[in-house]
Amino acid sequence: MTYGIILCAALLVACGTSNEPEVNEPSVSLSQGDLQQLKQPRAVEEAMRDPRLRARALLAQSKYTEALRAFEEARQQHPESGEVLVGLGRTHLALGDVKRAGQLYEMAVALEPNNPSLQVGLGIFHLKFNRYGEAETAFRTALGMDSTYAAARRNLAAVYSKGGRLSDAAREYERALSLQPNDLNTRFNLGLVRNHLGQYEQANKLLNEVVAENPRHARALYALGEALLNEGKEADARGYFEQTLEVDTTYAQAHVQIARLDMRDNDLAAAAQRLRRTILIEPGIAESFRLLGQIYLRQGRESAGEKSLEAYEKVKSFEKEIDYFRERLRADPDDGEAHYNLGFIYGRLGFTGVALPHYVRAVTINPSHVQALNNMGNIYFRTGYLDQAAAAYEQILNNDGEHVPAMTLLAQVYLSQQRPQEAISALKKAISLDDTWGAAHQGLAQAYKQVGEVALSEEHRNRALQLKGENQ
Amino acid sequence: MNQLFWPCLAIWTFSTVLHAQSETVFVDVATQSGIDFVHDNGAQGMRYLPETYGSGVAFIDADMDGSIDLYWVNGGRIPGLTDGPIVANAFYRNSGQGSFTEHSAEYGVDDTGYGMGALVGDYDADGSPDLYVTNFGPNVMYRNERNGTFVDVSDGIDDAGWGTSAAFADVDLDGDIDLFIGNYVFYPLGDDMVQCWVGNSRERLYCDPRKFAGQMNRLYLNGGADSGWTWTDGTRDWGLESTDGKELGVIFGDYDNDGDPDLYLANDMVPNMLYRNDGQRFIERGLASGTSLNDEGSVEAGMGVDMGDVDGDGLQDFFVTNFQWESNTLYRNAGHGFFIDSTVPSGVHKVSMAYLGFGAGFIDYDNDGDLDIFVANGHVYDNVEKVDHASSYPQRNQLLTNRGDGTFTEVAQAGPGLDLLRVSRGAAFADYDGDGDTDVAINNSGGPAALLRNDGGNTKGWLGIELVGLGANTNGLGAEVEVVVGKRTMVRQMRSGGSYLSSHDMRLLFGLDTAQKVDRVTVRWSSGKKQTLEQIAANQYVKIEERDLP
Repeated sequence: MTYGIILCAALLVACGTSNEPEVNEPSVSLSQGDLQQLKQPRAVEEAMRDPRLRARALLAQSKYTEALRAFEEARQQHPESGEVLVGLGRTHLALGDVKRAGQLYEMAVALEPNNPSLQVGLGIFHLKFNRYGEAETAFRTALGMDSTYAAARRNLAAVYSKGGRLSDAAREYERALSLQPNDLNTRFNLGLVRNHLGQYEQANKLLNEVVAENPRHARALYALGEALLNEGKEADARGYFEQTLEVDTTYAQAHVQIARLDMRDNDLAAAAQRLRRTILIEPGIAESFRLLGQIYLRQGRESAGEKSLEAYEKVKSFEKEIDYFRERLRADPDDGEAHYNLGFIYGRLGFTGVALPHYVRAVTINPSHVQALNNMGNIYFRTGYLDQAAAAYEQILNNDGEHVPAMTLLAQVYLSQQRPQEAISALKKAISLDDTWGAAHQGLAQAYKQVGEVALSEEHRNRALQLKGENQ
Repeated sequence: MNQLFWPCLAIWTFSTVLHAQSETVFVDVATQSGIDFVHDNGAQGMRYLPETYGSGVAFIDADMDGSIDLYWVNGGRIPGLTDGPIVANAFYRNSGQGSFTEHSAEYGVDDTGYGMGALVGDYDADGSPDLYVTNFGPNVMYRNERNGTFVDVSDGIDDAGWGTSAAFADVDLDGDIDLFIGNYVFYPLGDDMVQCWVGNSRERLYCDPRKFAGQMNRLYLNGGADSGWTWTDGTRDWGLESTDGKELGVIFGDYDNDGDPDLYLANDMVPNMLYRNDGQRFIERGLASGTSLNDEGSVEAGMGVDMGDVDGDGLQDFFVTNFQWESNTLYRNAGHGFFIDSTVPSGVHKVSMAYLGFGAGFIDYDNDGDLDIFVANGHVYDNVEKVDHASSYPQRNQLLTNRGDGTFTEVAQAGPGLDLLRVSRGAAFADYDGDGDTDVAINNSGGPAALLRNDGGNTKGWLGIELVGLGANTNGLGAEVEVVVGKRTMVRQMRSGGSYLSSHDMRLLFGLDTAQKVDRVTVRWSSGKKQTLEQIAANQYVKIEERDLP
C-alpha cells in the first residue's frame, strides 16, 4: 500500500476538527442495565434469545445487516414497541436508507406519543439533517412531557446553537447543566456558545473546567485557544493550540491557527511550511489554501499564489458539505453514508488518497454499498492496485451477480492484468445482460485485440461507436 | 513656505470658536434644530426584505451659502408590495444659525421612490453639488440648477435594480467624475416571493440574503462637457459585471497609492470585493489582498464601509460593519497590496460583537490627530427577541477612540446622543455648524432622525480644507492631502460616498491636537499635480484650488 493510502487510513481518526456542538444519540444503544446483564455469560445467552437485546447488541457492534434482521424479528414479537421501531430506524439510517429511517422514527412516535425518549430520537434524526424546526418541535414536545429530561434539553440547545440562536442555546445548555452538572460535553458546548457570544471570560472558565476534568480534551484546548485569540492574547492562544497538537497531532485547525499567528509575526516561511503539512493532514480546510496563497503572493510568487487561491475556491465550494458530514461522523463514527459522501467529495476534489479510507469504511459498515465499492474500485484501479480493484468489483457482483457496470470494470482490471480470456468471459456476460452497454463493447474490442481476434475486435469497436453516437 | 503657490491660495475663516468644555460629547439636536424628519420603512408586518435596510442621509450645501444642508432619504410604500402611504425624501436647509427648515418640494428633491441612499457630487462641474438618490426601483439624479432648485436628469442612469450605496470618482482619470452604484439582490415579487419564518412558527422573519441572487452593479462613465454631461454604461468594459456580490457598502480610495481610485465593496454574506484600478479596467483582488473575508476565513454580513489611515503609516485601512456576533472588521493595509485583519488586536472585535453595525466612518471626533470610529447600530429583525434573546432591535451607536496607534477603545461617556437606543442605518459626517469638529447625522429606520452635534471636539486645534479641482472634478475627488504638524503626518483622501447609503461633508477636517499651526499641507491631485502650502494657522477652513504648474 502506498504511503498516501497509509497516511489517509491513519487520518481517519482525525475527523473531529470542527467546533460545532455535539449531538448525543438516543437511548437505542445498550443501557447500563443491559451491559450489566451481558457481563454474565449465562445471562448473555439468555438475553440473546430476546431479539430486542440481540439487535441492540449488534447495533452497538456496528453489525447493521444482522441488527436489521434482529430488529425485524423483534418487531414481529413486539409490534407495539416504539423503541424497536427507533432501533430499526437507526439501523436503516446506518445503512443509508434515510427515507425509511425517517418513516420508522415517525411511526415510533405515533405508536407511543407520550414517550419522551422517542421524541428525542426523532428530534436527533431531524437535527442530523439540519431540519431545525422539526427538531425543535420534537425536543420541546419531549420537554413538555418531562421538563427534567436532560438529553432533550441539551439537544434543544444544539438546535439553537446550529440555527444561530446563541443566547437561547446558552440558556438551554445552562438548564441541561443544572440537570446534569457532571456532563462534560454540555459544559464544553456551553463554553463554545459563550465564546461565540463574545463572553470570553465565561467561556474560558467553562472550558478550563472541561480541561481540568480531562486534560486531553483536544477540542476544549483548541476552543480555549480560540477564546484567548479573540481576546487578543495571542501568545497564550498559541500555547493552547500547541497543547491541542500535543494531544492530537492531526488537529488541522490548530495547525491553521498557529500558521495564522506565524503570519501575524511575519514568519511567512514557518506559516507556509505548517500550512502545507496541514493540507496533507486534512485537505478539506479551504482556509489552509487561502492563507498559503496569500503567503505566496506576499513572497512575490504570483503563480503559486494564484494556484493556491484557485484551490481555495474549489475546496470552499465543498467545505460546508465536508463540515456537515464530519460533524455527522463525530456524532456517529459508524455513519456509513457520511463516510461515503466524504469519500465522494474528496474524490471530486482530487484528494483520492483521503477519499479511499472513507470508502473503505463505508463498505465495512455496509458491505453491499455498491457506489462506495464502485468508487473504491475505481481509485484502486487508477492508482494501479489492480487486485484490490478487482476485489471491490467482485464484491459488488457477489451482492448482485447481474451488475453490468461492475462486470465491465472487472473486465478492465483483467485486461490490465493481461488476463484477456477472463475479461472476454466477463464482458460477454455483461453484453448478454445489456447489449446497449457501450463500455462493455469497447472492453471486448480491446480484449479481442489482445488475443488477436481482429474481426471481432472491430465488430465490437463499431458497436461501441454506434452506441456512443446514439447516446450523443 | 513655497511662495510659488501663495497666489493660488484663498483662505477664509469660517469659525475659530473654541469651547471651554474639556470633554467631547454628542448631543442630539435634531428636534431643537427644526429637523422633524421621521423615517417610514413602510413595514406592515409582512416583513418584506427592503423594509429592514433603512435609508441614508446626505450633507449637501445645496444653495452654496457655506452652511451645509441635510437631505434625508425616506422609504414608504414599496412598489408592487405594500399599499401604505407614499412618503417623500426630505431636504432641510441650514440657516447657518443652528436651525433647519424643510424645503423639499421647493427644491424639487422630494422623490417618492422607496429610498435607500443619497450621494453628493458635482457631476456637471458647475460648482454646485448635485444629488443622486438610490431606490428599491429606479434611481434619480437631481441636477443642481444653482438657483435653489434641482431638476430630474435621471435618463440613462436610473438603473432600476435595488440600488444601495453609490459613489462618485474619476475612475478613468479623464477629469470628470464617474458614478458607481452598488446593487444588492434580486428580490422577486408576486408568486416568486420568498418568505421566511421564525423557526417552525408562523411568525415571519426578514429573509437571509443568501436566499437571493446578487444584482449587477453599475458604473456610469461621465462623457464630460463635450457630451453635454451624458453617461455611458461602463460596467462591463471596466470588469464590474459580476453578480457575485450583494453590495451594501461602497467606497472609492487609492489603497495602492498608484494615483487612481480603487473600489472596495462591502457585501452581505458573500465575500467583500476589492477592485484594483488598472487604468483601463478594474481587477478583483479581494481574496488575494486579504480583504474579502475575516481573519478566520469567514464571509461576513458587510453593511457599511470606510477607508482611512488609522495607524499613521500613510496607507488606507478599511473598516467594515457587520452582523451582530460577527464583530466589525478592521483591515490594516500592510502595503504592497496586502491587508491584515487587525480586528482583534485593534480592540474592535470585543467592543463590536454585541452590535449590528450599519453606517460607519473614520472621524477625528476629538481633534487629537488620529482617526476614531463612529458606528451606527441597529438590528435587522424587529422581532429579534424571538430569535435571539440577547439582542434588541434598537441599539446604541458607538464611538471608538483611537489610542494613537491604530488600536481602539469604546468611549464610555460620549454624551446623551450616544445613549439613545435607535434602529440606526445611514450615518453621515460633517461639521454642519462650522465650529471645527465633526457632527453626525443618522437616519433611524422607522423613527425620528438624529443630528448629533459634537460639543467640545473643537477644544483642540483643527484645520478644515476645501479642495477645488481645476477641471471638471471640481471637488478634487481622489486627491490625497497630507498634513504635517510637528512630527505627525496625517493623510486623508477626498472622496464622495462611503459609510452606508450616505454622503458626507465635501471638506476634509484635520485635528491638530495642541498645535496652533500646520507646518505643511501637500495636495496630490488626481490629475497628478502636487501643491504644497506651509505654515498655516489652525482653527480655520482653507480653500485650496488646483493650479496648472508652470
